Amino acid sequence: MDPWKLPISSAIQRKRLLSQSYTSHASASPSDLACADRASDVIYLLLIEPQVITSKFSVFSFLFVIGAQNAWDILLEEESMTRITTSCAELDKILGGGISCKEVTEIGGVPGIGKTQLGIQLAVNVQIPSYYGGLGGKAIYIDTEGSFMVERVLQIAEACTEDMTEYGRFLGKSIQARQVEMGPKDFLENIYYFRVCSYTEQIGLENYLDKFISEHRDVKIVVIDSVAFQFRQDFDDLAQRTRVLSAMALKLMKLAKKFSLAVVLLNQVTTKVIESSFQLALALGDSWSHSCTNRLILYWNGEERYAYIDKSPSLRSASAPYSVTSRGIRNSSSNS
Amino acid sequence: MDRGSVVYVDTGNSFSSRRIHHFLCENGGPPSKQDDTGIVQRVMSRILRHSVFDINLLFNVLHQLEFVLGSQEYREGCKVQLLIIDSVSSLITPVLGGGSSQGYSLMTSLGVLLKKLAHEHDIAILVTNHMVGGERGNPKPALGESWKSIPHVRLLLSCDYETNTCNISTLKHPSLQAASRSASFVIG
Repeated sequence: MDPWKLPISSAIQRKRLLSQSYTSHASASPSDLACADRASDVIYLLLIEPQVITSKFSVFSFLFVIGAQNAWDILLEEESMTRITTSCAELDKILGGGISCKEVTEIGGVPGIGKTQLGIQLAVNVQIPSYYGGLGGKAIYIDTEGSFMVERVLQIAEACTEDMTEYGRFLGKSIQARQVEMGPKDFLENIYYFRVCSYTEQIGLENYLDKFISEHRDVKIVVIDSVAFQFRQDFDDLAQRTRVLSAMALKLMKLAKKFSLAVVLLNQVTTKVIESSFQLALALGDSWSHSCTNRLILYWNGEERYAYIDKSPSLRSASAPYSVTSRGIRNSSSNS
Repeated sequence: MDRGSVVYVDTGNSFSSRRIHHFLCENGGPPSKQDDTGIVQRVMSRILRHSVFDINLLFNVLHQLEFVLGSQEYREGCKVQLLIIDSVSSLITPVLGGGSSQGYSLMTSLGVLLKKLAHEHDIAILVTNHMVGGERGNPKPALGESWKSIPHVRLLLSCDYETNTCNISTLKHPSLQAASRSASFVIG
């Protein structure tokens, strides 16, 4: 039974069926049905031609829900995904290779621990070309505090280019022959910088990011520094703040999944009073602390800076030392 | 094809297939080299992950599931035995409160739909909720009084960081006695 002969009431729906290239029922193969990304299309077909579709139903029913993926396919995809290196070998080791895409990572710590430095390092490292083992993508840096210093980014980018050239030399001339040299200025050009001065601007920007990234598909990381700053002042209604923050977290999760990019949120700390004792905790409250996929806490241990994985679905809780040098984030000096 | 399937609704990109692979394989090497019998692949192929970032999309997914489960031909195929929603509070918190009661009505209709799915199609449903700070710093579940009546069983997980053991206790159960039961476990 061809779609144009079906007793469909509306011409628009007939046109939709044809536009999906279902020119005859035989051509609507189970895999096409299974991959149809609009539930309405498939369910519509089921309603009008049940006897036709049911013979192929067993494959469709295996998916149950359109858009679902099974765990084995996800595993194979994840194995081939490149992670964004932090330029510190110890840190990369506990992170399983680096910051992973499709996830929202929250990095929190006391002032001066190096959160902004880590954010800038990631924004530079995401641009490392694929023949050097990087992602070759661009970065979006959302600055809410005004702590983004272009001179520092240039310094880190210069150090990165020097490291890349040395690595290229180590691997031999074959790589240098086919690549285009990336200079520090190229690194700066690939970072899209947004400055927000109020929480309404921050929310507005997050709503705009979907459209922006659809037009700039090579963005592979979004760094927000810091996510807490604008929400800690001027917000009288804490319940509203919780609502706004959870909606924002969901949007960022959706961005990360839809465009396969990493979202890195830098958070501040606050003091929590528990039974008359003080404890440092991340800002924005308990409900926000559930909103990220991974959480990394940066802290001082004596004179050394350490990073600790506080929350992760697949990584073990571990600590690693790192240091902030003039070249950016590097291994801790006591190890090397 | 009479084994069960699992549908995992993920709201926080937290579904880790690598972790599932660790549970199934004792030595946990790369998947392509591991699996001689194909059993790990078969087991993992039955776990379906769907990412949902909006409460309306969750309703969409649940209605699709209801439609498929209710159809004639499904009964001959593979059966869904477990539905996990991780987590329901991150979807409901943005719409709850703010003067309007739409959030509460969405939450209640979600609860009713889940109970209906569980009862009519013999599925076990597991939803996760978050603990947030309540009065005087005592933690309380994010979804509060109105959600309490929806689950049949409520479990509370807590973790003691010093000894690295976790504790699970029952807050509500239809057949157990009033005193809550608890057990300890470790996550390896």
